[in-house]
Amino acid sequence: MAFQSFDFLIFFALVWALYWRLPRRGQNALLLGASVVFYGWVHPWFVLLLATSALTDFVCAQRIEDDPVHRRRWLGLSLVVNLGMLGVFKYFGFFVDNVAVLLEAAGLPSFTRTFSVVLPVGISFYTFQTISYTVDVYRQTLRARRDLLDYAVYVSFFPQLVAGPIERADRLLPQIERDRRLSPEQARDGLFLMVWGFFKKLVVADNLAVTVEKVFLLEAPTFSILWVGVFAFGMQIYADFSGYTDIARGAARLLGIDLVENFRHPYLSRSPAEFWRRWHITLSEWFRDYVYIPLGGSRVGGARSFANVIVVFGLSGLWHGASWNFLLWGLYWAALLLLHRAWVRVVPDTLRGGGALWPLQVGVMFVLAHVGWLLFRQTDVGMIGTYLTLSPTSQTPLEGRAALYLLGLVAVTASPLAVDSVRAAVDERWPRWGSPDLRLALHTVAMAACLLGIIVLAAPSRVAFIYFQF
Amino acid sequence: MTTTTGQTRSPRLRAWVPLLVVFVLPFLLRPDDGLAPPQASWGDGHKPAGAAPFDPAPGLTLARDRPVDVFIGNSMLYTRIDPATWEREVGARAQLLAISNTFAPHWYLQLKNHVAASAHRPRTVFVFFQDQQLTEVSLASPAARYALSHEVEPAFAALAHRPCHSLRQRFDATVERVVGAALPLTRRRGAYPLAHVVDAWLGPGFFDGQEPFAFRQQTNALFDLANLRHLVVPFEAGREVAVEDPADFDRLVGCSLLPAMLDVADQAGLSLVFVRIQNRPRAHQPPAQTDNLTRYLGWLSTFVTARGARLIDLRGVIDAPLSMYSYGSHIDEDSTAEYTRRFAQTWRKVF
Repeated sequence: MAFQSFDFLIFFALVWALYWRLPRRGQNALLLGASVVFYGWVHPWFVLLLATSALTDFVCAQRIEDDPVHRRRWLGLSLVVNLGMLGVFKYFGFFVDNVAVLLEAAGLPSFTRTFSVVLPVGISFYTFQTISYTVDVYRQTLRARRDLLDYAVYVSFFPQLVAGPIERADRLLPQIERDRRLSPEQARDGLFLMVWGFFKKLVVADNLAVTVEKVFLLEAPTFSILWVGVFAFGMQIYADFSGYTDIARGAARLLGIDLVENFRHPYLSRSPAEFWRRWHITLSEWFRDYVYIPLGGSRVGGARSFANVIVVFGLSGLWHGASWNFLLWGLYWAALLLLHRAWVRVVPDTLRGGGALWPLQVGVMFVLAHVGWLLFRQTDVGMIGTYLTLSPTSQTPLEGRAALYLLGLVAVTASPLAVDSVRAAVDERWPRWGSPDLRLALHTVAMAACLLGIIVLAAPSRVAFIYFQF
Repeated sequence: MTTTTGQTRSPRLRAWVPLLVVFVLPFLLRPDDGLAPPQASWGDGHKPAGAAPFDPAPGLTLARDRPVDVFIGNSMLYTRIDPATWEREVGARAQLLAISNTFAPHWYLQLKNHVAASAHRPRTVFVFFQDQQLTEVSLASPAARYALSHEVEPAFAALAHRPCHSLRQRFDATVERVVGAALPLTRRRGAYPLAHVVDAWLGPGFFDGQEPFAFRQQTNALFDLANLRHLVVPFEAGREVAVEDPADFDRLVGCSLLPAMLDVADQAGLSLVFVRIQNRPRAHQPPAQTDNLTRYLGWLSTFVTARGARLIDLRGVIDAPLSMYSYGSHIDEDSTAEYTRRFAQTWRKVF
């Protein structure tokens, strides 16, 4: 079920109305039932995969705790099942296609794939969530849960099931295991978050999608039109994904559950590392805690540390999709991170301008992030090569003006994101500006404007959330 | 946006007042109905409050200009037929009743409320359509439909009570109707294109004396189908036609306004000709279409012929090469006159 459908609004209103009339166990049973309906709305068989992943980790975690001698085996089983599911449903087609290409290149008899595997929505998110649970139990930083209902709600909690945030068990499970309350202020904040999320998705992202779609389908775009399209995509994907997260967090808050923040104004970043502390935070932290640190992180030093960064970002790229462009995108970020590390080491802080040059640093990171979005959006690697050789000067006057016009259109559509980022920058710099009442009044006016905006400015055609495909 | 925190003396007040402001305001705001495109669900058969008034102008023009041939359709019509060229070629005065983004329900209303209601009887009424549009009611453009309607439409109301729509379609229509009634502001949806904000922002200097609309047309032309990569499966008309046998076709017709159109033409003594246009062709061949669509068009032809009307399918019949097309299946503005001439030739040849 998609958040941006009336189905969801009616579904959520019904769940919410019933939820607060039930005791905690009843609430959890309702959440599990609602999650099954939510996830199986279009393809009921998806629920079987979710159940397989959840039950495997429920059993494996208990066995890890109860059977210390064979704990590695149980961890291995959990990883094989979860990564195996990911491998089959997400990477099998990619693997087979590339084997065929290799055979053909080697002059051996090749084949054409005659079938495709449907990618179950959200599989990358919930498998990572269950893996983190089992690994935490294995590391003895979390105790295995014995209550299947509570655990199943943790895995399947519908607001964050299909596109995160990827919640850690030690944060979400205790909230599911205790009684929940909803204060009027929590309800207000939850509803406001949902309004803001819907505004970002329906007004900003979906309106920008039209431009992005057209630009990336052009046979021979000009340099300027292409980069306006890339800029539009940078705004679209941020509005789309962070919009989803805000709706998820708002809905969860209305159910008395606090989900972790997944975005912190990434386009205000001043370095590649900071970008990943602000963009899809839960995925970055997952890779840091479950891949990068176990590989030795930066403690190992030298070439090994470099290799760790490359491995982590390569995997992160492939996590986004089974396509070479995603791998390229991941490696591009690895290169940025490593270059930045070298830059910090070689150039003293005084020469780097300290804090005074932050607008320049933010601007440079904004451009670099968008170069990355070009690799991310275009799945045809051959086209990426063509894009990177475009000349800024070869265009007709009409094409130049058209690019400028589209830039204006994208800037106007994305301007609410800029206003929000400016507000965040002011909040970061002067956290105590204005009185609480003034801030609440401004927030209320902004949300009223957002809701009116949704009603009159929402894009006519609905676009699926970008991260649903991952 | 982050949540608001701070010292609270009256938490309930601080929660409820903002919520009331945000969530009650949209229900109170009422758009200027004169400007608002009315939004209504298909199948209710009623003219919603605030719909644009019935516009009798086209009917009055018919009585005044007394055209011999009348053409009804959407942008597929007005990019194809130039009345002046038609008059030169055929020797008969022509009038176009063509509005973009309109479909069968709208064409029915034009036929009934403008052509049949006029004191003047044209010789022929051509209805230009694409593929299965004559029996496709869900494509109806509510704005245009109600703008032509001045009372409850019995034909629409009759359809609303037939089991033509799935439970899902009925549910969606009901939700849309309830939301539209509760939130009058939804009628302004689409009334503020963001492009207009950019036009104002850039100022007249940017457009160099040109109308912003004309500039946007030129910009759109850069994204013409001919300039797009054809990574997607080549377009094949009729993929969505689920008509396997004559019973399916009968059910589809029973759920459409086609019988009502034929009745109106019959009662008014109008000669009705349905013209199925040719979609954008491939390089040197007619456009592809599914076997289902081919069968459907055969049954459609039999059905309308039995009811005294005629149907001409231009696919592979009219000489209109790819170079005459602009965006999608629209004919390029510079080729409209030539296309009219070729259509006149085809028309004479076929009938």
